[in-house]
Amino acid sequence: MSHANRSGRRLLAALAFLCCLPAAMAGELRLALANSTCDAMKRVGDLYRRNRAVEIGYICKSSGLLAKGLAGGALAADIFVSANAEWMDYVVDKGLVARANVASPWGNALVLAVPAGSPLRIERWDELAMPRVRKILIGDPSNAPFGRYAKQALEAAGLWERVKDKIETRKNIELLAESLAAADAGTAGILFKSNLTDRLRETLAVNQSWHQPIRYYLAPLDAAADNAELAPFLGFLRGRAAREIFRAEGFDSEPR
Amino acid sequence: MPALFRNCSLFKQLIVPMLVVGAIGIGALIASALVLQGSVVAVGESSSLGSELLRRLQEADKTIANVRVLSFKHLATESAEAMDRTGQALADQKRALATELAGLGDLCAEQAPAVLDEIETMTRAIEDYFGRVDEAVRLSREFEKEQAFVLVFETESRHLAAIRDSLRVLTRHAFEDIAASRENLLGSAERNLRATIAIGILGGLALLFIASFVSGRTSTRLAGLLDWSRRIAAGHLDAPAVATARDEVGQLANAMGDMVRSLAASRRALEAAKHEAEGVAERLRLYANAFDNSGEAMLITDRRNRILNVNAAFTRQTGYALAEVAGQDPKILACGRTPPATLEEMWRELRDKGFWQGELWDRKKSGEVYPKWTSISSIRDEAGAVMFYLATYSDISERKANEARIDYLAHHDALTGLINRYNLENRLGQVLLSAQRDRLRTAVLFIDMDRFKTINDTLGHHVGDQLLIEVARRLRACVRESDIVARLGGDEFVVVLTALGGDMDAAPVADKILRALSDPYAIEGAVLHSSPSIGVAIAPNDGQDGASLMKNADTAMYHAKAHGRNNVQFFTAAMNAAASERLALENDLRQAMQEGLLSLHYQPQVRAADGRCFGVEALVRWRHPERGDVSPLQFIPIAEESGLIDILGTWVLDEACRQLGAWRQAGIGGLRMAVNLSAHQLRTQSLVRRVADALERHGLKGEDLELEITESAAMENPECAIDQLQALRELGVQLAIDDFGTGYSSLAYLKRLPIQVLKLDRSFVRDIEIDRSDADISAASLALAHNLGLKVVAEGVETPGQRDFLVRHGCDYLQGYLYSRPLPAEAAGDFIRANLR
Repeated sequence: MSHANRSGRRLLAALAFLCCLPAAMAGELRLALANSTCDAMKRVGDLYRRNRAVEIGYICKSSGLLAKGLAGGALAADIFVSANAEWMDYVVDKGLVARANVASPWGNALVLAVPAGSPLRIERWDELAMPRVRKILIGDPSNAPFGRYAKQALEAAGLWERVKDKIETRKNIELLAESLAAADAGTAGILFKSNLTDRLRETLAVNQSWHQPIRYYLAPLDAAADNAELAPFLGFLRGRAAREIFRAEGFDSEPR
Repeated sequence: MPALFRNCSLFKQLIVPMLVVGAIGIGALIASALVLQGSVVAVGESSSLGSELLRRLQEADKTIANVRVLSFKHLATESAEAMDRTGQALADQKRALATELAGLGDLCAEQAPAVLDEIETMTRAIEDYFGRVDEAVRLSREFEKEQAFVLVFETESRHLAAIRDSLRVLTRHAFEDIAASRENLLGSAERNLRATIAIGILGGLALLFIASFVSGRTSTRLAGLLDWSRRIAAGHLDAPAVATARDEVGQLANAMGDMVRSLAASRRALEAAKHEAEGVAERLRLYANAFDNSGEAMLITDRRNRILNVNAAFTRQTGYALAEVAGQDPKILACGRTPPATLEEMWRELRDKGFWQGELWDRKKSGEVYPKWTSISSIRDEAGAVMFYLATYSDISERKANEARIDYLAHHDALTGLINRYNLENRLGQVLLSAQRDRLRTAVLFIDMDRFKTINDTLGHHVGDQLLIEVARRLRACVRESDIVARLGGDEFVVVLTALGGDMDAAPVADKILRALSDPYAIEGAVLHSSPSIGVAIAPNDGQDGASLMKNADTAMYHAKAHGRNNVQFFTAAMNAAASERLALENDLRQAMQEGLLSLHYQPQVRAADGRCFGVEALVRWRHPERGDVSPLQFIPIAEESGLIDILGTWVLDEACRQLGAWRQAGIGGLRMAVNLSAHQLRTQSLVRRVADALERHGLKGEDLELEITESAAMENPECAIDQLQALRELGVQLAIDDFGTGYSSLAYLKRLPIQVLKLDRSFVRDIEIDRSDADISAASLALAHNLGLKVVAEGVETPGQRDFLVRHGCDYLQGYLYSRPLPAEAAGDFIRANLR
């Protein structure tokens, strides 16, 4: 899209705003968010709304389901956040997002956790293969990137074949955090560090070299180019306040 | 010929030729009976091949369906342990199918090499399919669900389609086989009949000829003898005799002659006595021999009914040697299956007439129970007291099995396996009798497929036959086990609905049949459209006996044809009442639409995650001034048939959009309106323009509206449906598939339809808590839908248990009485306000 064309559209959008809409009517933003970023983004949204009258809708799902929903028209959003490159590539390939608009603002790390009150002690990774660990929860590798990273890590550690009979998957990270918190003493789970809650206890950090770098990818959808709310919000996301929230939630908040 | 007989006795002249002719005749009859038996056995074998083939094919079909559901379940499973359990079940089903296929191969290798190729093709397709399923399951087990789903979708459309084609071809072969064996049987029976008649005529002619020849000769000789005796009586013996008769020598000679004759007579008497004695001895030897060597099992008991002797055939038949049964009561052979009345009759007849024959059920030494044809004679002494009982048995289990098979063929239609006209008449008679006794109604539906002849003429008998088989299958699926479905021939079918409480009870079933038979037929890759004309007669009002009911149903069927086909007509009073009620409803509906008596109710749909309202489904209501609420199930079909659906559909769409706009104005935003589209609307060219108009008129965006179509409406003409849906998508409208089931074809099509929402049918939701397989199917459907990036709305959610299951499996939206019934606009507005967001 040429620059002249885009500013022309903005002008039109502004005119439409002035002529036809009541001044009090707030703009709207729809965010399709990888589950792991949901809490942090809601905080960012709340902060943003203190200074700007805008309705923000949050659609939280695993990245794969978001990508496929957007591609099939079952979901509509202005901004898409994927927890890995694969699902962002998918929407780019489907022509929904321009490659040039994709940014990678945050990173994350994986940890092995057990329920907060669990007596289970795990000090070395190969202890996962012992009988006292009866069940290991990971994300669904197909649609939830934190599961894909977990599987890569277990494979790299040479553990996958030994523990795969204990694996149970969850569709998204919020579900996993919840089931893990409510699980029995023989259960452990692998999730993003940012999604640890006070009902979970971290036992081991996953070696970063065991999996692809964990990076988030964020992009506006081409179809949302006319939304006047888009640019200011993207600007706010890049700002210090937003990055501070992400850092506090346990993300690596250095953009790449 | 006369020379040949000149020196023979009368006995020889008459009896010998008759014996010879008789023996030839009997020989010929035995030969033809053997031929007949041979052909019956052959027919039996081949028809049992057909039914065996059919049984195994059905078994295979069922197993493949199980494999399919299990593979879905595996893919939808999140835990390694649960996947292993499913994997085990899957392996069991595949093993069972492998056995079934091997058996099928062996069966056909021996008896039907013609279909071996097809079986091989199918086996290969199944192996391919299983290979893909194995691969998918392996990926699923590695938690690579995405790739597994891609594989399954791909193999669904490729291999499953091929397997179904092969199954169809083989099923057809099985039916053809049954039909051919029936024709064989008729052919050989006819040949035998002709041969037997010919032998009878020839034998009769030969006997007539011999009898006339011998009697001719005898009468000539008798005439000579008469002449001679007259001459002797007259004193004229033959010339020399006459010459000597008059003299004393002659008299002496006569006297000596008398004496010699008397001596000769005594000696002849002696000879005869000796001969007889020898004969008796010979006969006794013969009897003993006959008893021992008879092919029939024989048994002799004494007067107190204790076994004296049994022959070798008896031992062969029953497995008991003489030593084991001697002195026992023959009751030890009984198995208790012979009706007591038969035994009573046996003893009565033996007492009164000294002879009985009939069918007894006995048990062999091996424990096998079998029917035997039994003849028993009581042998009495001169005083009439019983000395022995002599019983002969033949094993008739085989004959009975053949009888049963021939009976099946005689009573069933070979193509469809339905009962035939002859059997229908019998069964209808019985049904009517018992209905009369219980004061119940019986409905006879006469069904004729429209356009069948065109299909047959243009696409060939092969396709026509497939269509008929499918019609038969659908008919059976529409009725209860106790109802009768028959094919009269051609495209004429008769359904008898038994034990109905009232006249109008037949109407819903007739309607169901109408709808089932109007659905398109997928035959050999082509989609055919045919529809039934149905005439209904109901006993006792429309006739008391089978013949008049059939005649009246036939008449009603012609009315149906005259009414433009694809409809149901009732005979006489019931027919008129139904027809006029329908007509009245149609007029009332027209008027109601003009006067604005129709209204929309709105059933909330809530987000599964938080129970908040997200949208509503618009449902049309008609409050009739006299009848009260009329169900859409009742008036939508009327609207479709009368063409009112166009106006009705447009009105519903516009009214729903107006209401959404009104809610918007009242501050209720962010709500989605779901509206149902009928198959007819989906076919209408102006649909897209009308939707666009309605949206514009009420200031709505495309995404505010969700249009729901049924799976069957989409499948009716997939190409056209896809184009229409694509155009609606371009307006931004969300599209939903209503009443999603798990038909074989649905997955492949589902991927092609530009839909965003899948509505899980209430029938699955209802049984989630009760039926494991419905729960599996629901869970798999949810997983499939999510994997395709679709949202799922579950309909008919009524209990917290159903809700929990659906939430656990990631269902997105819920709709049902658990949340709210459909509400009038104002109440719906209140509900939404209280529950929005």
